[in-house]
Amino acid sequence: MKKRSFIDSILSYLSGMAIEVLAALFLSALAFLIIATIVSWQT
Amino acid sequence: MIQRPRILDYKNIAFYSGKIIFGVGLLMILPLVTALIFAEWNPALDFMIGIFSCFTLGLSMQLFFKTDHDLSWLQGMVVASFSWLLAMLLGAIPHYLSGHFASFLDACFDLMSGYTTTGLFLLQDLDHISHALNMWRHLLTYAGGQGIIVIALTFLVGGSGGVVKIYVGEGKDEKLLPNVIQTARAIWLISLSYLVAGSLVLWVIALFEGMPPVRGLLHSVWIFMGAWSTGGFAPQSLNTSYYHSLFFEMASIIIFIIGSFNFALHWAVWTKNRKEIYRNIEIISFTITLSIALAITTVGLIRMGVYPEAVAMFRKAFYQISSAHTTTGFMTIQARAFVRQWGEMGMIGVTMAMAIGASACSTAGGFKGLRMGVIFKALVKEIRGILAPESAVIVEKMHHIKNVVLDDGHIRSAMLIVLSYIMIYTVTTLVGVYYRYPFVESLFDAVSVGSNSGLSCGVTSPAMPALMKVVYILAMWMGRLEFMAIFGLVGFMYASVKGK
Repeated sequence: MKKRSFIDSILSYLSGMAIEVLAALFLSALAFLIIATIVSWQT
Repeated sequence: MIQRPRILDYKNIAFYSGKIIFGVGLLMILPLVTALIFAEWNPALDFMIGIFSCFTLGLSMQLFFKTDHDLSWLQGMVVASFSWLLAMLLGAIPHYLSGHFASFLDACFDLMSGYTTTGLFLLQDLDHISHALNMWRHLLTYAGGQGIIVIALTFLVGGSGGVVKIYVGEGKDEKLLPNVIQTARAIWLISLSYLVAGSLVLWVIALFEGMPPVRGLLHSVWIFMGAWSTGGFAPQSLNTSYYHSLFFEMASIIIFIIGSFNFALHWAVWTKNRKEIYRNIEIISFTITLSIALAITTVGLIRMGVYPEAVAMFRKAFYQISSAHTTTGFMTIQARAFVRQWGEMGMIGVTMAMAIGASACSTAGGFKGLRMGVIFKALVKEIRGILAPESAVIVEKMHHIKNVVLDDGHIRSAMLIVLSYIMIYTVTTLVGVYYRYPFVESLFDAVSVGSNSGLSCGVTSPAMPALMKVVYILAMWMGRLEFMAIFGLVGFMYASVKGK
């Protein structure tokens, strides 16, 4: 029982990390969109 | 009437500061081991002297001022601010002995820059320093990011109730778990998990780019430490542009963005509350201010005609802006390129990003997203108040881990800290202008030190006047500890002299 809860926490931590990586990727994608929009508008 | 501190006050402060100094000595063991592994005998001796100094002073302070009294709030604040200064002086010993610094002041500058996760340096000939010294530089920025007091709490201090006061004094006032020691350990769990995962990813990229395995591993760990702690130290003088790798740059961007998140947010997302990632006021505030700073800089760069197409612009502008906004300080351009290529509009966009900074209770500096969110909500509340009927009660809410009703206490506290940051930025800029640096350049580096960012447009150098170095050290220290602990130390010193 104890072992299972340990594995559960590890899985929970790993999925938390994955969500945070996705959030950082989302911010980068948003940044690229902003840059591409301004570049195409200014040139 | 101001009360003069009692002997017990001094004893308590000295005892707990002794523990933290001992902790700094323990940290130096890792660079010593690095020196022994790579047969770097002179640096090994430097670190032995450093460890001996820390242990002697730390243990003497604990022995002579032994006490079992709990800390008061004022004592906690004084320990937090005073121990950072002591840690700087002692940690600078191996730096100075390495022979890479023009003076002990320069070594102290690099130490404070490391602990506060700023990332500016006065070290000379960075490309030829020992592995041990590089390990120490990056380790102290990694440890400083989590907080040297958090380290002491995790490993050296028992579970007394008073330690929460030095924890708060270090500028981390959120409790991830009900107990402060458990909170400190949760912070380390998050940081160490990312250290393993992030370093591995960077190592794979380094191997893919053709670096030798051992060197690649060292660089990956160091770059991770610099990125995660939003520190900005790198093992080469060209900073991250040394690697010429888009993958390396992308991985470091992801690491420092995640590193700039609030530890309470990390813990919420890791444990139960997945939706927190897009509901949290700091993430919303960060996304908005990042977009605005990026738009200003992009327009400025297009007007200067530096990077004509979107991919090149993304690689250079977004790297610098995200590095500035997370207060990391990694650079893929030369320092003087800000002045010669980016122009004033680009520099102002970066300065704005640095001034705002990232999340509270993270490794980042600046005003912090939480305070920007509170101030914005306060503005909305005021406008709603003007538009609503006189008898209406205006309630404004924000979401940070839980829903919070905005009250005057939140607004006052946020405004006071932001005002203190503005004062630091102003005074530091004025000192630069006094020494005849151009205004925008002086502002750029002043905001960089005050917000613990570490980007430089060339003002920070070993040749700058000694007074400027001292002011920059103080600005980094105050910015990192978020003023309250500094006010505590100044008040304590005043009471020691003028109290009755």
